[in-house]
Amino acid sequence: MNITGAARSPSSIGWALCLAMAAAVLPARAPAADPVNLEGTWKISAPQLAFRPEGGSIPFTDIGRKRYAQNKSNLAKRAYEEYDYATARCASPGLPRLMLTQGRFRIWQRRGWVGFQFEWNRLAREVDMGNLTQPQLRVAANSLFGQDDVIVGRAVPISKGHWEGDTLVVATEGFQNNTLIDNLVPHGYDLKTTERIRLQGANTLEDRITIEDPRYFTRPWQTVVTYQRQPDDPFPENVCLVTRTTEGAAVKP
Amino acid sequence: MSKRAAHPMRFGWAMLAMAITAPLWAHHSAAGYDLTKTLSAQATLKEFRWGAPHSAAVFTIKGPDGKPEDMTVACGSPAMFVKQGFMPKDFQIGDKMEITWHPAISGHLGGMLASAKVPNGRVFKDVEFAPGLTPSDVLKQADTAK
Amino acid sequence: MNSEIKSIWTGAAVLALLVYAGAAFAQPLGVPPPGAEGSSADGGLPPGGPPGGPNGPPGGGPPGAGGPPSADAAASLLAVPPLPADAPQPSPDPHNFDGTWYHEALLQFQITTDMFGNKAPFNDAGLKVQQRRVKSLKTGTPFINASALCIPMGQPWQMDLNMPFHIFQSKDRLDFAFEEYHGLMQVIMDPAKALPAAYMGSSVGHWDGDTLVVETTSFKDGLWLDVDGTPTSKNAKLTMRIRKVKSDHWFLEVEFTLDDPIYYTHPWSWMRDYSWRPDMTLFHEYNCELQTGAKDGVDPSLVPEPRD
Repeated sequence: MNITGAARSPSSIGWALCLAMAAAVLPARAPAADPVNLEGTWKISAPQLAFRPEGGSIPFTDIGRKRYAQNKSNLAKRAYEEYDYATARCASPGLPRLMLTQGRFRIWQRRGWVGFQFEWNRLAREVDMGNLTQPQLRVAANSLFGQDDVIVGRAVPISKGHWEGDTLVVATEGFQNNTLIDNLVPHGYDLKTTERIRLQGANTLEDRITIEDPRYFTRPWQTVVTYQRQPDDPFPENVCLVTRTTEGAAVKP
Repeated sequence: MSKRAAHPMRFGWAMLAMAITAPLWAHHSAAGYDLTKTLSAQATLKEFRWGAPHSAAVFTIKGPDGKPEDMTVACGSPAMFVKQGFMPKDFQIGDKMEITWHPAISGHLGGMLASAKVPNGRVFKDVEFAPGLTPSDVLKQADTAK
Repeated sequence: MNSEIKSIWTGAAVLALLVYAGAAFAQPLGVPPPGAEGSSADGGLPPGGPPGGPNGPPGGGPPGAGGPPSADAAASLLAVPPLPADAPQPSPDPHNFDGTWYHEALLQFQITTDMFGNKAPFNDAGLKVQQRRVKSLKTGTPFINASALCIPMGQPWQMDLNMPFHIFQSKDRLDFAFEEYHGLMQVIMDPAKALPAAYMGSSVGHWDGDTLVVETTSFKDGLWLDVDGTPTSKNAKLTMRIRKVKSDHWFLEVEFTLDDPIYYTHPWSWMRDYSWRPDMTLFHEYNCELQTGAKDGVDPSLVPEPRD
């Protein structure tokens, strides 16, 4: 409908506008080509601080076991600054830890990519589905930022995704080494994760995560997290630096 | 509706802008640091904080009272380190180096890293905010960034 | 100096301060009681955080300002090539703002005039704050501000810095997700569902023909409109009139109007536009709290701003 500036009676313009707007402002939907629509607002089914490994225990290397023990000892002393910048500073928890958020997140499916918007501290992650406009200037390998990402990694790298039937398969690598897998488990630069994300029924989302880092684990190990669909309500502003309970909040000048 | 320059011209003006104003830029960009002063200390690396908006490093140095004190300095990007042959991932907590920095005008300990000399004698020079950058330096750096 | 060259000088100097916040709060940030603010279910806990709330290091001093970009960074920030010819185009629907948008124009250091070329209508109180901040840059002791702390700094600053943002549009709202500061603004279309007070304020939108009118109030603190610190009070009302335009390229045109009797004699407006850039969809990471959340993370060159 073409709304022009031509003079019309106010009430008919009003109705016309209402109808036009209702029709025009369609809810954003997953691209028609996607096999499944994962869009919506999700929240972890069972809050947990640590991933539960399938098989019962995490297959640590000696280095991994030692670091894990150090982290546990620091946790007991609440010495978060020694090993957990997310807790100590509100730094990005990184992946896959961000998938343990006890807040909500929203999935947006768009042409060429999938976005996750987290309630916690307004963080986000992106999955490159492979047919985006190139070059992607903010992360191009020959851009300053792109170079930095390659050199030292990111807490939340850009993931690469593709569909396998009804499952979104998401591969992530290029991590910095200053985050944790969850609240305690260490990792290094060589961490790689593979997530298989799919719906279980209409209102449950499942993320099956495979974690691989030969320096810290003798073999890849898996864990599963599920989320329940929530109403698509907006997220009230969440600013970790302001809400965290520390002896001295960062914002005191 | 705003007038829009064609893209190539916009690009051109931007490059010209940087060339003309490089000295001004070098000065303004370090509004809170005294680029005419350089302090130095023996330092132990505590942490690199790579990332936006800029990277920083935390060093433990000997404070004025002789006790160890932590000092935070803004530093160059990982790419800048690599350009000078230093691999950021190779730095370890506890590495010893001789550092120089431009102090904060405010008087707070810390500032902007100017150089870091590692035990094997090699020196990293933080050239982002070096005073006296000439326009051709800027253009050359900009060219290599493309 | 003719105005073109002057704007280049200004623009380049501005560019240098692109991410260098270099300044402080309009007034010291009101620190809400721990746990009182924020309404995420986890009460601010990071994922996998400890029970009973995170306990960070004591002190938690003032956060660092953004550092100035290197020549390389400036080059990559400034030098935006034209969109490839085969890049997808946005929906022709004028009411669909979904996509990735980017402020291409050189950052304006200081918004000194309105969109008609009139000087920003400061009253005495506003002028005092503005001059104090400009002076702080000259004395080499710039003030701490929200950007330096890496907490939300309001729409004008968030939308001025040359970094992209996504708009996710659904029938009830528009989510603006910014690369810089991993910022988020949610525009709620039903006033009954407006969000509570926030550092980004509370934004309610309605359509006026093809223009989305976003009215933002309930700011938790005053804002810095620009890197020089042109002030707003927390009582400000910010209106953004946004429309999607196609010239030689698609862009969003935004008319910002500030209504803030605390610092200005009357409301005034300025214009910005944001190019459609699907080639900026994948964002660089902005993990600023890694620095600003550390007790020694304050940029030592910054000082607290005196209270009025």
